Amino acid sequence: MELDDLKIRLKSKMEADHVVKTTGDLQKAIHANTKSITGKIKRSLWIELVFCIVMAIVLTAVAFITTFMGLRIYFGIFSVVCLVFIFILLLLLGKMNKLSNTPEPIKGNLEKIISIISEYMLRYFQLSMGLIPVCIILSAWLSMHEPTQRWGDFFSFRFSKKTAAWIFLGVFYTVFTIGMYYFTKWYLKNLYGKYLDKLKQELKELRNG
Amino acid sequence: MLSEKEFLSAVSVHQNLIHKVCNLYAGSHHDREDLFQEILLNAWKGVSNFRGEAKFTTWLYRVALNTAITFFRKESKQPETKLVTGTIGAIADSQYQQDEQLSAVYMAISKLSGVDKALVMLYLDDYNYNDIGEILGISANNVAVKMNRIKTKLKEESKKYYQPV
Repeated sequence: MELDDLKIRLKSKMEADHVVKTTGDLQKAIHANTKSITGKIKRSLWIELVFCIVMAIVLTAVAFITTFMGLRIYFGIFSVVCLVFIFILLLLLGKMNKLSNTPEPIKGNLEKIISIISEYMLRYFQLSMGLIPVCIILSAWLSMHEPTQRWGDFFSFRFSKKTAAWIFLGVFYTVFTIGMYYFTKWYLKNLYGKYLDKLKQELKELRNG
Repeated sequence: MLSEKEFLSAVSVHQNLIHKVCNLYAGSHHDREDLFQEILLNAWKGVSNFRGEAKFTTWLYRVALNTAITFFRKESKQPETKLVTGTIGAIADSQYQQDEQLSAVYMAISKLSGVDKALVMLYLDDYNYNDIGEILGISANNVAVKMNRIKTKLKEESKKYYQPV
């Protein structure tokens, strides 16, 4: 039972099984929204960009309006962080827009999509991890300058208020850091990781003679 | 560059090609419709770069296969292999009595990877190894090696579904 023996019959069988689309159906399809992975990433980038711009404006406004020095510094720094995010998101969007619509050979196309998704995941991970030290340093600094009475009282039956606050912050930062690390990894793997693995497998097969 | 009307007319004539790709790569009716639309959309977006250096069908094949291989499906919908097997099985069932051999090869093709399916499809459409290599982005020698391996694989795999008496 060779492929060549069945070539003509297989070909006609494959061609036979479909409902013919009218020109109207085809016209409707070319004006629909894309469901491609690059389209999805582009949409995500735009949503994140708009969110970052809005956040940067709001945080800057709060930093200028508030009379509390601590809040002013806190919101001021986060508005700068938002600006850094905006810059990186614009860079990624630029790369996405440069993607040509010329259909490349399958191997080249796979390499390009894998590279884009990998970079998107890497930057997303780096941004999320980069926020952890910013949050920790800021909250530690604010805690030192404007310590929260409530948590100090909670632990004060055994430790001094200052020690109790540091114990709480130490535990909180550790849990927060570990949680953020694993959550981001899990989230990215669920979002694009499995799909990326599938594409890499296809590319590997194409490369192997 | 083709106008919208010219593009739609060309696609209408060659829509068999897109349907073939959809049947082989997507399982459920819903997935096939989604993939059909995505291929058409990508073709329309890229048609401005179609200079007529290659045949329209070769260009459309490239768009269709690129889209099908990289088509994003949510895992939660249904496992891909099950879907593909389901479709091929459904097609095969109608003529199962008359043509068990054909059904068995169909089933075996459905088990191939995305890239191997592309190779088989182009081979069945009488593309030579050079053209297949150009569409895939590999050398003609590599295509020949892969095709031999696929033929052996299909021969072995189809035995699972059909044993001649």
